[in-house]
Amino acid sequence: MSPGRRRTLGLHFVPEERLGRGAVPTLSLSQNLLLTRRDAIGAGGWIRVGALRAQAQDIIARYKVKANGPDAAAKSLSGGNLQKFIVGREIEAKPRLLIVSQPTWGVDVGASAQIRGEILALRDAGCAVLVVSEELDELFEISDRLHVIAKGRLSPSLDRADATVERIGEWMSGLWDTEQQNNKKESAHAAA
Amino acid sequence: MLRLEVRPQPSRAWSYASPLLALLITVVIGVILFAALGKDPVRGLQVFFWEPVKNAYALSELMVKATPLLIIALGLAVCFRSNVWNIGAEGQYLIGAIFAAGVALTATKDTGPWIVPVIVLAGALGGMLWAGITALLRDRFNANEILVSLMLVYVAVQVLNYLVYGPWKDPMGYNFPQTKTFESVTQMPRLMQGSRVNIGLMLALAGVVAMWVFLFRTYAGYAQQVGGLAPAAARYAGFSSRKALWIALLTSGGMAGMAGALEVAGPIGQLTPYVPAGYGFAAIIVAFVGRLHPVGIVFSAILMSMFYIGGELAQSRLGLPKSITGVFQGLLLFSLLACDTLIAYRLKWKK
Amino acid sequence: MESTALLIAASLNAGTVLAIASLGLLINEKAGIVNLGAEGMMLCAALAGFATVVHTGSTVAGFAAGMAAGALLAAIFGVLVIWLNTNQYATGLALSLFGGGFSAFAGTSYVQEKLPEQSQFAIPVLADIPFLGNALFKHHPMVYVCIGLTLALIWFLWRTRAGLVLRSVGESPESAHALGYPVRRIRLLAVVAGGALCGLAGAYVSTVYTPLWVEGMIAGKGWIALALTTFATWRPARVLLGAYLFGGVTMLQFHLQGIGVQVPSQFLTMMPYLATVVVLVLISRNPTWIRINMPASIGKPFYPGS
Repeated sequence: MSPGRRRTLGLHFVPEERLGRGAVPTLSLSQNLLLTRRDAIGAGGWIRVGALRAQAQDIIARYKVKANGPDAAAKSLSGGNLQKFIVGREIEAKPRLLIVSQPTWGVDVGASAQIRGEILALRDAGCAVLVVSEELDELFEISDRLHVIAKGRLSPSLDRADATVERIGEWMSGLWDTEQQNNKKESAHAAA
Repeated sequence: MLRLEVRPQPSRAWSYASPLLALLITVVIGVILFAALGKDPVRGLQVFFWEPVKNAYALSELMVKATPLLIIALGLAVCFRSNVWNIGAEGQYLIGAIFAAGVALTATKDTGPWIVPVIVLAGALGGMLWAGITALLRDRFNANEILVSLMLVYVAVQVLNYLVYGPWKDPMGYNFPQTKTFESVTQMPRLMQGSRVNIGLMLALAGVVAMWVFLFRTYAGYAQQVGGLAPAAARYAGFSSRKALWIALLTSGGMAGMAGALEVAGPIGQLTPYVPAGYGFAAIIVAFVGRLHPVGIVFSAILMSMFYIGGELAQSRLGLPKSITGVFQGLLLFSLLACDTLIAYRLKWKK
Repeated sequence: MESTALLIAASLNAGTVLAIASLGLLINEKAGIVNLGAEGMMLCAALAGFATVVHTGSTVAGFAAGMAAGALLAAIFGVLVIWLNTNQYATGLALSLFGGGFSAFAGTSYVQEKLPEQSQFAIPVLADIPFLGNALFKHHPMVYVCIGLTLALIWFLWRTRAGLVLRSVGESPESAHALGYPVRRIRLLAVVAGGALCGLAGAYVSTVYTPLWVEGMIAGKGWIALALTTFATWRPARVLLGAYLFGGVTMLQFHLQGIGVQVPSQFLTMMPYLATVVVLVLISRNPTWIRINMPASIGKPFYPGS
């Protein structure tokens, strides 16, 4: 399925590389909106420049992006601010499923907290959110459920309540099966 | 020691000033060249920069020369912005001219003026076909478009030679390698009495507007450029790089072919081995000097045609070979590339 | 039989031009720089060589002049591309366009000039062998120099420390820089050496191969040489063989006309260019094959500060 089709179905994605993939460095913020949002595109592919700038300005204000306006080049923003813009761009699309990869990598503390807050708010609004991250602290803070990908396999789901750092650590080595086997053995033992 | 230091932000001022500085450097070197050849430098400058614009007729000749350069460069701008390096515009120009000539040669004294748009379309079609070969080979086999399009230029020249020395040679032409002169009905209509400016200029200006709209106001144009600026972002956005490749090459091929048709059915009036005038290559320089922007290209096309006319005048008035034009064109591009460094870097004096 | 021997001889001769230029381009591509200005360098060198022979009568001086012209143009290109970090492709293109224009301009007074008669070359004894003698042993010394050059380059690149440094600069200039090598100076040397060889090839064309001067006489050989380095996956021996093959295709057109094949001459003239396209298609079909063999930093600018 092409990215465009995915987006019409409500699946949006924030990639881990900001400059060069999530945004084109030399283009302005409003122009970068067009990568994933078609709201300002009129009939026959006409770009409504005024509407586009307004849309960008809206995201800048709402997500407190520090930039010299919607015409600022993407590469003139700090990592955190650009990430806020990109995350904002995808959230404002009102997705049904949002996938975010490494949401706060290379982002300063204040922006990180803000981004995490936005993700939680999105969850509260009824959107499904999948966060891919290497930072356990972050995942523990915002996730309801956790999965681990290790050695090319996907672990079963683990509720946040049942998750501890040690357990996740084991799972990261791919050891969720043995855990289940141990559990079964113990229950079998206890039953016997 | 002079050192280069990266600027925090690319300098907007310098991106406008750089072509002007490059022009200045070219002029200075030109003056030195004139002096070294024993010609009066002032006269040289006059021939290149004053003569071509001094009266209405001169201006109209300037426009006649600028038209094909402008048209081809517009197409090349789309191509280069998409990071597709079509160097073979000269070949597409020739095949367009050949297609146009093919249509024009079918005209008789009784043919109506409807044949004029057909000729122009045939030219565009021919150019698109030729560029399409390059696109196909790049699309299917990943063959480098620079080398393929360039090789096709040499092939196109041979195709032209074959036709004018062979099947299309004018039986009444005293065995000269040329086709018969096209019927007057096929001639591109002139815009006004007393000048050779024809509808080609209108098409060129329409092209400027069309290109500007395409590049800066349409989603398709946006997708083209993102593909050239940041391929990973283009994939992220879902823009098809294959589609971008084809659009880029077919557009530039069509424009070049159309320019070929306008030249051959316009000022030249027949097909000869001299049709390849290097416009396809000069247009590359026009596109760069014009910053790949439709409006900038208008100015650089005019500048380039001043070089062409200046070269012709230098030959007749100063006794210098006409090919001095090529020297200045090359110098201009070199200087532009060097001056462009100043956009991203600052010159600093360091111990 | 006789004509086949001559065909082989002519192919070697034609191939020598392509090989020398292509080996030069190989040197700078091994260092990571693509010089699209090959055609322009060869044209200017052809003129320089021709003019020098006209004035001095010495072919060797002509070769030297050609090498100097190529080296000078390459140096200008090198400074722009290595120190000012201009786009390699655009700058190379500019060089080609400039070289074409400049050589046409400066060469106008030489168009009707003729060179003194060429002496016939023949290696004693070997040249008398039937068939092989005509095919292989009656060439201008440059043909043999070319073979020697190929071998020398193989030895240099893979058997000397300097060659290793050159190759590592081409694969990863950042690592070489970190190890303390003067990356930019090495690249400039490679570019100048490459330009000198392109110049030699250009001078050979105008003084020995077809002893005359006409504008645009290189007729795309510089571009074909560029394609050849990719075709040969940057290995000198393959460059030489590929060059001879191309030489063969070029000479085939005359051979075919000679034996009376009824094809319009223009289609035969097209053959080397079409062959180049075919070869490019064949070699590019497998992008991995190219990527494994290509010096990794080709075309990319190098910033020592970063």
